[in-house]
Formats: sequence, C-alpha cells, structure tokens
Amino acid sequence: MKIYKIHFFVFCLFALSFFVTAQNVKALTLSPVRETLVVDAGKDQIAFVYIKNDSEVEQSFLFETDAFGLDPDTGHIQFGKSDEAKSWVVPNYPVLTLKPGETRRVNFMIHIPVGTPPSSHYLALVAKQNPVKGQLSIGERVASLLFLHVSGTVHESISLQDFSSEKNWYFRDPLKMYVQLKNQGTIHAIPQGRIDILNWWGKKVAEIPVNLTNRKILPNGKWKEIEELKEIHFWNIGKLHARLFLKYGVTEQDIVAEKSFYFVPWYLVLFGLIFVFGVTFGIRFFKEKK
Amino acid sequence: MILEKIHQFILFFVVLSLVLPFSVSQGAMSGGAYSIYADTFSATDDSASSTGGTYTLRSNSGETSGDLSGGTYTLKGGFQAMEQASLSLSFNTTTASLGTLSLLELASSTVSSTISTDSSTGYSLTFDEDGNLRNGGATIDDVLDGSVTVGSEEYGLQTIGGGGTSPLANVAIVNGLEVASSLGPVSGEETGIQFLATISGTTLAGSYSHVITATLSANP
Repeated sequence: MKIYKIHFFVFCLFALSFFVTAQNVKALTLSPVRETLVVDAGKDQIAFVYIKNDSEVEQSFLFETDAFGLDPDTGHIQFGKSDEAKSWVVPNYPVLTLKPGETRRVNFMIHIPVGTPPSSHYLALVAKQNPVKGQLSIGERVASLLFLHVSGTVHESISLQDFSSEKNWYFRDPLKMYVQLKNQGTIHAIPQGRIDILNWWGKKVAEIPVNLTNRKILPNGKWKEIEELKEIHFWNIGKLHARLFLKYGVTEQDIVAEKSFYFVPWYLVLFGLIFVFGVTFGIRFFKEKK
Repeated sequence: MILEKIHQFILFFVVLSLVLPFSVSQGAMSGGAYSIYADTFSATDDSASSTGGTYTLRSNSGETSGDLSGGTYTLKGGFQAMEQASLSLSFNTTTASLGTLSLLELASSTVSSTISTDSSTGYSLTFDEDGNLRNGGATIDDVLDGSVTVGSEEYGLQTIGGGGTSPLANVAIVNGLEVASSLGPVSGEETGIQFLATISGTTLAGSYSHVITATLSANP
C-alpha cells in the first residue's frame, strides 16, 4: 500500500513538471549557443542550429550569418562586423515557417575557399524576425556563436600597450591601475593573472586579480581594464610597486610588467604638519619665554 | 510479488525520468521538449577556454601539434565542439508608440523582454538602430547628459529591473548598445525597456519613428 502511495506521489510530480514547462511560453528558442569548428581550406563542413517556435501562433523566421567583435572597454559583444567568412557560411533555409511548439534543425553549409590561409573568424548563426511597421519597431534576432578556424599554424601574441597607475602620488585609497592589451596573433586569447602590490621593503601587501570574468581578446582587438585596490593600510606608506603577471593562450605566454608610485595617507601628512608646526611653535614659545 | 516488482520498476523509471533532465540541463541545455546533440564530440576540457569559450583544443588529442612553447601551434581540421545550451527571447510587443511629440511633454513607452538561457557564460541583449528617431528629414538628437528633459530635444532609453544595464540613467541608442545581460544562467528574466523622447521649441512637432534590432546571444 505504501509503495502505491509513493508511486502516486512521484507520478504527480512527473505530471507537474510537464505542466510547469508548458506554462513557460517563449517566442523563440535557439540552440546551441556556441560552437567551435576547425575546417581545412577547400573543405566543406556543416554547422547547425535548432530553432523552436515557443509562441502560440505560427511564425516565420529568417536565417543569416553575421560577424561579431568585442568592445575593448567593456567586452560587450558587437554584431555587424565585416568578415569575408560571412559569405562562406550559408543557411539551407533562407526562411522557415514553424507551427506553435514546432522545432526544426537548420543547417549552415560552410565552404572554405581553396588557398585560404590559417585564420580565425568570429561569426554568428542568426535566426531573426523582421520588425512589424510601427513608430518604434523592434526586430528580434537570436544568435548562436560560431568560432570558425581555418586549419593550420596558429600564432598567439598579445602585446602590453599600457600598464600605468592613475596617479604617481596617492593620498588616499583606492589605488587604480590601467591595463591595456592588443592581440597581434591570429586567434583569440583570454589573458588572466594578477597584480601584486609590494611595499617599500618588497613585501607583498595586496593582490588584485585580473580578468575574473574571462574576457577574451579577438585577433587585432584591444582589451582594457581598470584594476582597483579599494583599501590599503596606512603602514604601507611610501613607495609601492605594482607587478603585473598575466598568462594567456594554449602556448601559455607570459606578460610581466612593473610600475611604481607613492602612497602617503593624507591624515598622516596632516598629523606630520601639525606635529612640525607644534614643535616649531613650542620651541619659539619657550625661546621667547627665556 | 510480481506486481510489486513491476511497481518498483515503474517507480525507478519515473524517478529516473524526473532526475535525468535536470542533470543534463546543468551541463548542457534546457531546450524544453526537444533534444539537441552534437554530430561530433571531440575530447574537450572546460578548464582552459582557449578557442571556444568553454572548451580548449589543448586536451583534444590529435587536434593540435607543433611547438607549444614558441607562441605557435597547429590546428588540424575536423575538430568540432559546442555548448549545448539554449537561448530564449520574447517581447511583450515589438512595436512601441511615443505618440505625437510636442513641446513641454515627456513621451515614453515601455516594452518588456523575457530571456532564458542555461549558458554558462550568461547572455547579452544588444540594440542596433537604422538611424536616429526621425520624421522625414527631421531627427531627434540622442540624449547625452543622462536624462531626457522636457524642453530639450532628446531621445534615449532606460531599463527597469531584470538584467537591465541602464537602470539609473537615460542612455542614447547607438549600435551595439547592451541593454540587458547576465553572467550566468537565467530563467524567465524580465527586463523593462522604457523609451523616452522630448523636443525643444525649435524641433518640429509630430510623429517620429525608427527601427531597432534586438540581438540576443550568449556572452562569448
């Protein structure tokens, strides 16, 4: 009897899970969200997406290939970039009409022209709906990212364009360090590492992690970050050294740099001035009294 | 006895069917009632993220060769990998109306986007425009000072709740403007997007329009 009750309870849960899914209605679902392909020059390959009409009405979708870049300051994705590889990737359906709840696979036929040199292309397989005419018309696009690499020798090279401090003299925290990189290689990379802050005696007093969010740099792209040390103790007064250690790529390349600056808390300066004035005034006062 | 065994078998099957979708969706996708698969799955490694977001070619035996210490290596054709997550997007409406813009009046209209994804890197919703808000040859300037103010000629948007990136200031709509985002999976995240416009004494009153393209993708 007990097993019947458990059975019934689990069955109810099962039925409920279907009900909850059914209520979660969306207009458009696309999958996968990201794909990587390595293709030889002169060869063909197929990338694909699955598209589902989650609305309660029949909908038509158009398909296209786009290219993207990354904003150097924020890392935000930016579509509409030019890339010759957009013409290599062609959807097998220019337009597709789906019934409510219907799912279809859409192939994107990839042909890499003969003689194409090894290179990386950052594309998007896009399903879209054209905007309806109105005052503010919004067209919808959902994109599956395609990292398309033409096979061959890959070169990883990131140069440090700037490692500097916001100020040479800090009278209060926070300390701000600027890091700017440029990717001169042929494939993207994720630079990661840290900035060590060392005091006058060479003792490490703080560590700032760099690129915790795994921001990428695409080929020919720039990457900027402002790293901040929110608090530093007053006993680290004096000359400070910031040492940058970054690592990137499959070949584990290193970037190392150093920058020095001074930290003199304003309240210690004030205290020092008051002390000096006090001593000077006191000496004068006693001299005049004598 | 046999009946009890049948019940136990059914019970096991039902529990399995309940648990399995959740365990798959954490690492892969949550695409509802349809299944998605990769044609070819090479060995992948989530730890280094060197070529495709969450995968690397380093541990994919046979795909890379060459001198790894000199900054170069070789990619061999045939490698294929993917993140089997999904992205869902819907708007409550795809047309918004600001009415007839007139002096001393703040025109506004709000649309709502709902986004779900189980992508490990989260999502980004960006806007592109086909040009400034316009009425024939007359255009409305983009807001530059963070606030669309009555009496000035300004147009922009701000976000309300959800994954909105501009909740505190009015921002100009420029190509590539990120409107909403997340750093991880979200389910049914709803973001309000309020469009605001005002005109000055020298602006032609009337009905202004333009086309916005909203693009949803996973964060690369």
